[in-house]
Amino acid sequence: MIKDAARSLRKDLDRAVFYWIVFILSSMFMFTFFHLALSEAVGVTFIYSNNDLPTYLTVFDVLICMVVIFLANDFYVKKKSKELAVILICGGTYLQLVEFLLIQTGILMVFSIPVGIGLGWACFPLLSLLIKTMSGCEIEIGFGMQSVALTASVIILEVFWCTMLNLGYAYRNSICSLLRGEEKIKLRVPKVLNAKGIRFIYLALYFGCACLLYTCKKSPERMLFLGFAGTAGLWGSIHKVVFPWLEKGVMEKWGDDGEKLVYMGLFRADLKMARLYIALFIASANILCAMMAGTVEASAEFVLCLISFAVIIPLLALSLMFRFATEAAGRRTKFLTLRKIGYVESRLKRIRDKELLCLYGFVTAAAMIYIFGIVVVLSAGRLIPAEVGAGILLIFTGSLGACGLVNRRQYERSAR
Amino acid sequence: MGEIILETRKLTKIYNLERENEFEALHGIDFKVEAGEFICVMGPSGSGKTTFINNISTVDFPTKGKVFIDGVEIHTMSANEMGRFRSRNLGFVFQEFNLLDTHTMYENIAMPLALAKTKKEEIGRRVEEMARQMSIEGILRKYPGECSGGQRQRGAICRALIMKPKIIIADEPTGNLDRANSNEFLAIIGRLNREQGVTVIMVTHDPLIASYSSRLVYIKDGLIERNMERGRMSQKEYFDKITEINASESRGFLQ
Repeated sequence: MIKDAARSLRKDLDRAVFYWIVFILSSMFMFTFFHLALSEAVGVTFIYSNNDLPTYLTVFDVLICMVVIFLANDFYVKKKSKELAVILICGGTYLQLVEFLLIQTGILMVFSIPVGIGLGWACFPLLSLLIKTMSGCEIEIGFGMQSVALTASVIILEVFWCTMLNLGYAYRNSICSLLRGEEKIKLRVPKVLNAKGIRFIYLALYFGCACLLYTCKKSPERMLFLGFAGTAGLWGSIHKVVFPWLEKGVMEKWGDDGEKLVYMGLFRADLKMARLYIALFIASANILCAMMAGTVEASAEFVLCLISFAVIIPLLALSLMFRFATEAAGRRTKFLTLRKIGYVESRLKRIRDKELLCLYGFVTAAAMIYIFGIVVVLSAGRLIPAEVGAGILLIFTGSLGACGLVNRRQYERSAR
Repeated sequence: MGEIILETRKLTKIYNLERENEFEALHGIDFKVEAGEFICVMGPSGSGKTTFINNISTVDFPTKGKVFIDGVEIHTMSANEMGRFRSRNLGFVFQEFNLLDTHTMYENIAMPLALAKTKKEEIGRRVEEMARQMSIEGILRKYPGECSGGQRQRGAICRALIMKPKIIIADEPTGNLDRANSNEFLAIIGRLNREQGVTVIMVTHDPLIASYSSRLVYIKDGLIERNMERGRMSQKEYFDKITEINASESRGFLQ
């Protein structure tokens, strides 16, 4: 089984590398934030917790890291269903499947957790320097085994739980029936949420909250509330405004444009697939920005918030990238079909590029309305220097841009 | 003799050329198709049927030899010309339907027309007309995943026919359909062939389906082993002959 697992790992090297990188980054960030929360130097520990910001921040960051690991695991395991089916057909037991998957994730963990912790530790001097430069507080962060143990146990437990969860999905899909596995559970939505005029309420909520941000001045609680309300407005707007607009557009407006018909249709599918990720992404960005607004006077805490933003946003962009990569990996047949219809390679390339541009452009624009608002309010009130504001915007757009480029490359390869 | 619409000369396909696992799937096949023919390609699994059909339809390219469609050697065309040529002359129908599950049935059928820069109103009119002919006008706004196998296959046929192609290429088109839907598919294809003179080249394993054709091409080990015209045979006689060819192949393996 160990041999088969290692072979399977080697066969899916691309996905394994993705998963490995996520492990490294997550363990690095988790370790760093656990360390900060437990460190006497920062002044807050779980034991003597006084519910200060570093504790909230650590819990939030660790949660996001866990979500990202969950998504990466999902991406990795779901594509293994064929291999799992072969093992089952050969008489393998459920326990052997668990063994098969856990050996693979175990190998990846062994090679990533120490690297992540090492990298986190190597970043401590940089972290201290950053806090000192930006806030003037001198902080000595030392190495502690408690945070190593916490990081490792959180990751190991989560991976075990994720593997079991995903295995259940793969087991059902491979053996019972693929069709049944693809069945979606339709949630009952209260009638009021399906009312005709609800789309205007969602739109008003989303844009209204974004406008109200400018009246916040320095009220992090209000910013946080507006951020959440805005995310809910966006979620509803995607369902009730964007999807119907795309449906109508693809079917009626762009029906005579061979390229637009395809890429807008694909974008519509991407949006359906990634809406949860988009909402999570925007909500996190809003929460972190609002936290920053609340800590501008306590400069050491503000720097911690900024660091959180700088690590969580790229990590979430990475998870969106994974989700898209999973989708793109299965699009080979679609592009083959398009070739048979008569689409030439140059057109297909343009279709892929425009689809990615729509997806990443939408995420950037939808979140930017809020982030930009918060940054403007903070900068205008001279609560943060303009360079820091520009840095926040750059981190956000830069990480999405980088992930978009990686997706572009991977999409090219999968569609070929 | 009628107009030659498709011709291959010494068509050879070699996979993994100059590598350890080099494999010659087709060995210099000479083949001609007249306009309006209904040809069925049969043969044992692994004999090269799909390779053959892919190589004569611009989906794949031969390692050696030439393929002419409507007098044009496909290898001489640029990528853009090839795309346009495919869109205007060939219609594909496959076992897996190959509809884009990200697009509605309407959008799938409209795609070749949109590619050819047809006007919006004209697209709408033609898609609806075609859908009516295939009795799927009620499901045009649905996604393929929401339709039955028969409906999806009819959708795939609509997309293949919407550009009024000269040749329909079908690779095991009834493989995922029940008998009723298979018969309906054959009736549609047969009607197109008889009434509109569309040339059909279809791969199948089913002798009953093959008995609807006007010529049987039996491929074995990368070569055309039998070429049988239906001529004046009744469908039953033709079916018996096809069954006999298939049975003799299996009989060869008996002790």
